Amino acid sequence: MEPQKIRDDFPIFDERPELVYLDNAATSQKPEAVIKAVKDFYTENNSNIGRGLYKLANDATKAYKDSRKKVADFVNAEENEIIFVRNTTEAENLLAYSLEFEGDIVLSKMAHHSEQLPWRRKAEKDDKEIQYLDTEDGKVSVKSAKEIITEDTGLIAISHISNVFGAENPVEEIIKVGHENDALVVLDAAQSAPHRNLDVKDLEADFVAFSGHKMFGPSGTGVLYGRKELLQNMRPYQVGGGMITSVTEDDVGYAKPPEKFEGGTPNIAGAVGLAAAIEYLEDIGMEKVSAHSKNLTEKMIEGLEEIEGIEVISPEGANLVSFTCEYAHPHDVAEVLNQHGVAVRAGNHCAQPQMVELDVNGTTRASPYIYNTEEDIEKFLKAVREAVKTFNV
Amino acid sequence: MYREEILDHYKRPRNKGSMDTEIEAEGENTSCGDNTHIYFEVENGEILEIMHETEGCAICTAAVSILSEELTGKKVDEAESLERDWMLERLGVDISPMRMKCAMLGLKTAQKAFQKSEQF
Repeated sequence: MEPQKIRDDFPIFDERPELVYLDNAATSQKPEAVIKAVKDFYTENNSNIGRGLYKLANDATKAYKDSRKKVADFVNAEENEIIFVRNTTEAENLLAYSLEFEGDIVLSKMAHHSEQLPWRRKAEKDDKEIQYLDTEDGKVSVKSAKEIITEDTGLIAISHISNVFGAENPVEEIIKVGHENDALVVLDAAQSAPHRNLDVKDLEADFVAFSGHKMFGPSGTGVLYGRKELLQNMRPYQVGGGMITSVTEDDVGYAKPPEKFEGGTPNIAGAVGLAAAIEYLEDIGMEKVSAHSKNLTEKMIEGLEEIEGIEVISPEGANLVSFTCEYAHPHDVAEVLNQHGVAVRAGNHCAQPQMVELDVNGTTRASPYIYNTEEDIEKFLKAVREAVKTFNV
Repeated sequence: MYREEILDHYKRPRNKGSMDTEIEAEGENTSCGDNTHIYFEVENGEILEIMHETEGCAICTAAVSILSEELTGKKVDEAESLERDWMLERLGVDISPMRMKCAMLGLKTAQKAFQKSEQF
């Protein structure tokens, strides 16, 4: 892969040629192909979907439907198993609202707030107990899963790849333990969908959620996959237009999934943009994408480990690196990096309980993607050395 | 943002420590983990001494350290009326919106100590 050439596909690097963008776990930059797909939709095909009787409306409906098909194929699901949402947070909230199940809830200590709070609220409302899987070397502990998940467990919500550590969790094993106990498993794939092949049939997860905007799609795009027999039995999330079969004064008939969960005019242009993003990723090839992120992360980890006062939190094989600096708060490190044109994230990464357990006041996190070059990594490491020099007492 | 004086206050905070007093308050920015505990000795409405225990980023720590020097000798009335711009001027660097809470934690906590105390 040639990241230098890939950069040419991203207009932001024309505008900001010096930018070293290493905050891809938060959101990705957008390639011209995605920007153009959104622009073309608005200039050529814009209409509401599903109800117009004119050609333009049919074209817009087809564009939206084709986008769903693209997403479904990307994760090896069926079209009616793909619900468009705003982001992973909305996917988790939708599920926690619409899904009824017997039994208690198991979360992980490393859980992002978005895959934690909807279920905590659900537990409070439905009087369910919550238990947390331990973190072991930056991954969800299988040992802890085997101890905690029992036949009393109704649902397990875990991350495929944690946004704090960047390492792939042993989700296959945990899903297996879950299913052996007849529990449902929700997989937060926000950090994995942008970086690796995601085959929902292979994974055997019951639900998978991810954000389009972290994988080159427009902001406000996200996906919830659910096994169709589960989706059919769930109650609707937001009720209103576009999600019914009939409404009388006394009765409402709801549409089948996915429309049942997509009340109101959806983000049509966003869906079209997301389909273009997937096409762009597929053209490059997910294996290459995955190898590139891991390779750059490895280089960052190697470089960071040579700097006195830096402690790397991410385990080997991660696709992003979280680290702390003995002499400075993560925000100060990030600020010095910013002064060197390097964009990283610092803080608790929406995982405050995990930070408390690690006994740190946050970490600095650098997350690469396909447009990052080895030169970016050198600039990043140089800036970290500067930060250490600045704050070292 | 990290001019020499800020770094010096961060690395060697002035008036570090605690004291036995009723005029004190703790403040925290939960989102970033900055926290401070500030103590005042006051006589006839005048601040005679300030001590603080601060754990936080460079901006937060330097701001509390500078504050502890600036408020010594001032009247409580005056300290209570100080606003954001005064603190930013003392820091003398551009503070980005994301860091404003760090810069203001000290002043907010000091004012909380006066409000909490029934002496004023």
